[in-house]
Amino acid sequence: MSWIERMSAGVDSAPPGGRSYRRVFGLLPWVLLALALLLVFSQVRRPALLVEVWVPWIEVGTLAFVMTAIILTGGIDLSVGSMVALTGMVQAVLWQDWGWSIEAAAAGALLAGALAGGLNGLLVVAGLSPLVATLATMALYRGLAITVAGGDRVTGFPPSFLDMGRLLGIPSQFWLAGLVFLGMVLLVHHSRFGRWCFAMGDNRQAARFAAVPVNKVEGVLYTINGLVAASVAVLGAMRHDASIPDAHIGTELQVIACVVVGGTLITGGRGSVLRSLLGLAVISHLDVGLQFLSSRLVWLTAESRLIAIGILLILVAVWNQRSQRES
Amino acid sequence: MKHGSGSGSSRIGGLMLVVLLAALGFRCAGPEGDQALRIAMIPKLVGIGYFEATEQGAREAARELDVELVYDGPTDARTEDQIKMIDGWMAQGFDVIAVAPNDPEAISRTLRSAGESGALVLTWDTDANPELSRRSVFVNQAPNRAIGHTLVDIMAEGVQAQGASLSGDYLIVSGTPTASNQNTWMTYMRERIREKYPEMRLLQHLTPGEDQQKCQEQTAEALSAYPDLKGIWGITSVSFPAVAKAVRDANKIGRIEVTGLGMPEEMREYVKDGTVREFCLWDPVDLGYLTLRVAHRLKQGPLPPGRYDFGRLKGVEVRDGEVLLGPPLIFDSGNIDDYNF
Repeated sequence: MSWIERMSAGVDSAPPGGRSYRRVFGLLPWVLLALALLLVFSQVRRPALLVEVWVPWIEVGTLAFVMTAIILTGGIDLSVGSMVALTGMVQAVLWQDWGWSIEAAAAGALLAGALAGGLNGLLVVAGLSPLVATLATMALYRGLAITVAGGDRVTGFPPSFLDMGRLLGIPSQFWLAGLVFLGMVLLVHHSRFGRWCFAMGDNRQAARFAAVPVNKVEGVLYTINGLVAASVAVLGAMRHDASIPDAHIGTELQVIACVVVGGTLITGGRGSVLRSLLGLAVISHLDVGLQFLSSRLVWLTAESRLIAIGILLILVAVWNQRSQRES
Repeated sequence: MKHGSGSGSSRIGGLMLVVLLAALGFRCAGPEGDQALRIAMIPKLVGIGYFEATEQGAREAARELDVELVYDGPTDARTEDQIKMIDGWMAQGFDVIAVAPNDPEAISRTLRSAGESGALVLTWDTDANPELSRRSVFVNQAPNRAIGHTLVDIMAEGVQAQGASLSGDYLIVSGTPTASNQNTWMTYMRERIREKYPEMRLLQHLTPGEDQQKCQEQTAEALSAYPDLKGIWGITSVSFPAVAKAVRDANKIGRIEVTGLGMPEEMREYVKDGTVREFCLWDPVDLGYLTLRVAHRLKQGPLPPGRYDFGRLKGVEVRDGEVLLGPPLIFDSGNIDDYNF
């Protein structure tokens, strides 16, 4: 327990008064998580295979850890899903059409990710609203992803590359997620850089006056996001032996949902990476749990699961609003 | 929690609750007595008539055989969503997974690991890569030869029913030039014409792509370019209604015979107004029914090539790694209202 305490210490501040009332409110995500866990584990017969089920959500989580930092500064990046697709296609094309070795192509994908993220950062630094800038690049990168290989998905990667899809018996996505999580916790909660992020989200103007290098922070964060998106893409290609141009449509919404459900303020200034892990746990367990449950309940179709998740998001948003007004 | 319970006691309480409930969940999931076969069937997507019809057939067979059937798929025809669902079903311990893949290649590794972890994997409607996926069988709805031959036969019948002679020009409107289904059917159509109706003259077929507008324009051009045109086939579900519309717009109903492969729902208006007399498609209800029956049968042992009865479907041909649904279904003004896909 204590490591959680320590990690979120300094982010959490306990305003005085109304403790018991807020304690009940504070429990909401945990109650949801508990219900979701119950849903999942009551339906599972082969728990070892749950690891595979979680891979898509771990990818979302990996992106959410970086997104948390971006949202803390008051920004947002809608182009993550498109960046994953684009960098995956860049790798595939470099390997298939340009004859690069698969390792070089993977490095190329990382570079492309850094460039794509860097462009996002540049646009934001230039004064565009992050929402508008990344909405534009979301379309741009998706278009490029579809164009580079003529809309076709690429398969048939070399076996040595595919073998790296698992490390010590579990999908490599988990290792990447752990690495990114630790990295972001250190960056956001245990460095001067992190304090700049919070300051910018709190009051951008004041942060500028306080000599926070706003442009540098934004440039770095959006570039990291591109890099991580590219890493997700490379590992995805290892797992599925395919790079798909229309992959990860809508991923950005899942990513942002994890951050927000965790309790990080969408307007920035408050929140933590650990909270996004909680958000990820709640949403992913509910999604998987409902999918499992649908094998028992015929009416629980893909559409009605969407409705359930939507209602959950509204609930949590209301909860967030209320607890923010409280403090 | 940040907005209040900074003490962490609620967090500890929450975690304890989580652990407790998870443990409870595990107990619920413990060994279950029922040994009913659990089959998961995944269409390319849910919410369209065609895959609702296949579900209807699958449920019918599941009732007859008293097996547990889960029929679920993505809301968009996307491979990543299918993979997610298949991985979920594996953790739930399903015995059989029957897949209509959106992408025959990209899904293959998932199918292979599903097979390796003990499930019986089969494909239906569309095959996955057989070597990569190692699926056991493919339930094939489209015996290509039967479809090619039937298309030519109903065209010949139609022209003769108008009291005209068969000799004249005929045109096939396909989709994209590389579509392998369509190209195979055309091969069998040419074969049938050569063997049975040599007086039919085939023009160079059109490949306007899967684009309703282009299909219609190119058909309209052909209608004015070839005065001796007797009949047109539209052999994709996109080109067929487009051809029918072009013929109707050109006021050639009754003078040009139109047939092809299409969905009753989309073709109903053209059958009602006489543009199209007959057309064909396999029966998707039967496809779902057969898939479930085959899944059930395969759990009892291997299925060597031969002819088998699967419930109400008699004498179904089984080849090496493939089960063939019987001859295609023919729709006309008499029966088209019985189908809603």
